[in-house]
Amino acid sequence: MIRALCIRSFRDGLAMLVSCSALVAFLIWFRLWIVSQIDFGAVLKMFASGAMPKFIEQLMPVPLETLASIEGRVAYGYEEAPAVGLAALWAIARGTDCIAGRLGRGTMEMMLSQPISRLTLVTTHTAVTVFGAAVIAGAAWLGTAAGIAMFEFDEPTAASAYVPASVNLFALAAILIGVSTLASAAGSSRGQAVGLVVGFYFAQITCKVLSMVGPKVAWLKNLTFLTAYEPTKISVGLAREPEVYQTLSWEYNALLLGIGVACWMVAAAMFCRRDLPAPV
Amino acid sequence: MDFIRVDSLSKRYHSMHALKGCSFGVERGEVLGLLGPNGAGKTTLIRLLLGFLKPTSGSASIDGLDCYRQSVEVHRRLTYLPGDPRLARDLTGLQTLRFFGRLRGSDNTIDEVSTAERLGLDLGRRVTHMSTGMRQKLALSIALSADVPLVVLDEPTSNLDPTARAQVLAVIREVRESGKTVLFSSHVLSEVEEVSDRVVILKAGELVETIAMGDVHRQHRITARLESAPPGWRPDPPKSVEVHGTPEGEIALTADGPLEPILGWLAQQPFSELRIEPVGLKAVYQRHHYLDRA
Repeated sequence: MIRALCIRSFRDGLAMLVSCSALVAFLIWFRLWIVSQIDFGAVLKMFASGAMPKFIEQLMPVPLETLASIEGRVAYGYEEAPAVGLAALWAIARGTDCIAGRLGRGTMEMMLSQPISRLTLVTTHTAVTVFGAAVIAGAAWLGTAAGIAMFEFDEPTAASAYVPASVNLFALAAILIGVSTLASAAGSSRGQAVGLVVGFYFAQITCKVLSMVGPKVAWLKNLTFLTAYEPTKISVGLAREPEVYQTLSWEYNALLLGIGVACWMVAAAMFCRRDLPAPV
Repeated sequence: MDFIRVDSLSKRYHSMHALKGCSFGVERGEVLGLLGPNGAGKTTLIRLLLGFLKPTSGSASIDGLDCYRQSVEVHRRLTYLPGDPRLARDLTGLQTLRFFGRLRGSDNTIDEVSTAERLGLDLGRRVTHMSTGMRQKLALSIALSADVPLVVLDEPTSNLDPTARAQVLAVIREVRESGKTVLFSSHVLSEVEEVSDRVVILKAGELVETIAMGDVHRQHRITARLESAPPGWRPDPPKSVEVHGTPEGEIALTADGPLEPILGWLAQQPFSELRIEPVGLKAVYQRHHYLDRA
């Protein structure tokens, strides 16, 4: 029964998973080609001359010199829109579909009239979603590895140095899966659930950006889980000072995974207790 | 012991009572028809029995198991056809039957395929390309073929053509003959009359009548004009006769049991244009749902 549910859930999301994985691998690979073509020394000079506004430097996840290193330039791809956006797309689409989506389509009713507990239904769907997040994070790393193998950079680097960035990307997807499932359990429709999560995510981004550029509102960093999404900092740090960054890496990932799991548990508890409305 | 037991079951959404203090029992092997207009509480009652809704008060049990707290165990004992079945649209009919078979721990879909073929369903077609009626037939094949003691059908013929309706009613009769209990909700009185052993009538969330079909067939409806009645005349009927309403110039009565004992009384009344006809389910239903407006 559990196998049948997992297979069904996997087939439901297969097309999206393949698209997101292929796209993230391709875009990261393509980005590395661009990185291999750019003389970053000129960019550094531009910053040093003061031609660039200071707030841009403040928005960097690591000091400019660190970002200019090969590890920094490669790992920064995990902070850019393609990787984060595709992982978030998968997490939000699947997480909100878990309860509100199936209730809206009306397929939940026939499923739950079978001898299946609500918890089993949510758990199998989430297990497949988490697996998909791991596949997307793995695809991002494969894109990185392929780019490193195929293009020439000014310094040598190893693909294994970016495994921590991929793990951090997976942890980001995991927290979004938890939050989306919670919105799915609480919301009355999938559209409402997607709106809630997207609004929450943008609020989190805003908190992080404001805390980085405005010293007076630096405290906002305590309100956003995105302070634990630091793939560049972790990758560069682990490559240079592994004994210092090992713990930090664990802490960041544990925080993201912990919040994700907590949200999912609340969502499961809510769903197990809520009334199931008739499909409209 | 009743196979289905409902005791003072109520469901309230804020100030709206969807179901109020409903109580009845269903014996094993019985076919119970649920009747009532839209909003009467039929679907709410069924969803409470399936454990989809938490009762505001009261309780419901199936085979001694609490419908809400032990819903998984309850679902091992029943199959359900919703009023508007929605199935995964990317699967074919056969894949859908296999999927639901596997959820019940069976890879064998012989019975389901046989029921579907009997209903004239093309199992090779994807659900997305099926009409509403075809999807209904597919869901019926899932619901009617599982080896469980209870079948819950919420308006099973609502989207079907007359031929398919007749086939479905025939299948329901076979299900009854195999000893299964059936809970059958419908708007179509003739269908409920045809397959049910007993009928529960709901009105605005309340159970207003429970009647065995045997009793329905034993009752007679008597209507007459009162043109020759003296002023202030009031009927004084025998115990087996009930007066339902006296719209101006007319009288409607229901006689329960044999007619012979009341024929003498009828002959002495100031009635003209006397009509006596067997009571069908329609007349019972109309007592609660049409006479209010008269």
